[in-house]
Amino acid sequence: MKRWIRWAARLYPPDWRLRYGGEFDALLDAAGLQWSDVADVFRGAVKMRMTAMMSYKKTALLAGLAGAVIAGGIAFSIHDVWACNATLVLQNPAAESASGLSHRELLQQVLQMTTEILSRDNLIALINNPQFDLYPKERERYPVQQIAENTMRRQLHVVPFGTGDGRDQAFQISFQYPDRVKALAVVQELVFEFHARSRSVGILEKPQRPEFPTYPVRSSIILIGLLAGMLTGMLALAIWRRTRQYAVVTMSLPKEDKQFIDSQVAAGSYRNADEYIRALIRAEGARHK
Amino acid sequence: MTDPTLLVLASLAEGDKHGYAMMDDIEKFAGVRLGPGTLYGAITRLEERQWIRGLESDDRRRPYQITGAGREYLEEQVAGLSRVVKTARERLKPA
Repeated sequence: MKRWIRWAARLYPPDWRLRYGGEFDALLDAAGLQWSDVADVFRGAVKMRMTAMMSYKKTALLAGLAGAVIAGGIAFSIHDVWACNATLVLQNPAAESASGLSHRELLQQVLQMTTEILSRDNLIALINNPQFDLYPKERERYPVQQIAENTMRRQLHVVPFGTGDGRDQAFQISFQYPDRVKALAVVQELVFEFHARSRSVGILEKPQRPEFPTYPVRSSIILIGLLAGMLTGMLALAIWRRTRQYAVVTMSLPKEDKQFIDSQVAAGSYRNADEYIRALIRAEGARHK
Repeated sequence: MTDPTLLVLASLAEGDKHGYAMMDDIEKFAGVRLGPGTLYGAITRLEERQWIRGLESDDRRRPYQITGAGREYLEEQVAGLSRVVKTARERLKPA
């Protein structure tokens, strides 16, 4: 019977065993045990395990919720960014004849037009155009040349891609801006500029006012906040438990005992005080078997 | 009164005791035998709530002491129980 009770006692969580294991074993040695104690100790071990698990679950839930709320606050404080796109095609003027342009030449033309349209002067003209009134806040703080190079160039892209038939050259204009109406107006203006430069430019996909912002993806930010909160919470609890357990065991020790433990750790026999104490408890347990 | 935490507090209110002494004392004054798992479940909860504290010991048997907060809690519980007992006694009196 004692063997069964000792087996059940081993089912307690390691943290609990570290703190109470020695005295619990002493009680089992001294008390007149009954068969009902096997179930009692087993039930106690299950309860302790459940308590340990529950506190992790609760902490993870609360910390995750806090993380989600913080992430939500951040996500909703970020302004929407709208992306407006248009797809154009530079048609081969004489595709059917032998004098038609090669695909490479068409691509060169698109790149040439893109370089001109996205030139610094042209971007500055777009920014300064009162019809668009782009980057009003930035213009109060920075020179317009800087805004054109550092901000607008990162938000405005022209990307060539194949049409599949190998004759024409398609390309997409994309502009991201916090105001979807202005984003649309700028892309419409760029479509007009491409068309003005070459009569062979056709429209595959007209620019449309975007329905949904492309950034921020608030649900993803909140989900990341939730997961980060849960992980942080569980990690914090694990660290707190380890340090607390160490503090409980050593806080009442006399100074010379603490110094002795530190010297054992410093001698390299153990990684830390916790490991040393665990080793002592194991040795003590083995001595009383 | 069979709540193990109250029984442990009541036992420690008399003086510091280790696990086996508590078990023995509780059996004597309350007629209830707490199993080792139940007793140490109660001790764990009480120590977490800081109603009892473990004392230094030279051997494996660690004695426990009731704290001020633990004594206060026990007094509140006993006062509540006394009211229940008093009311029940009055109601059981033959009319």
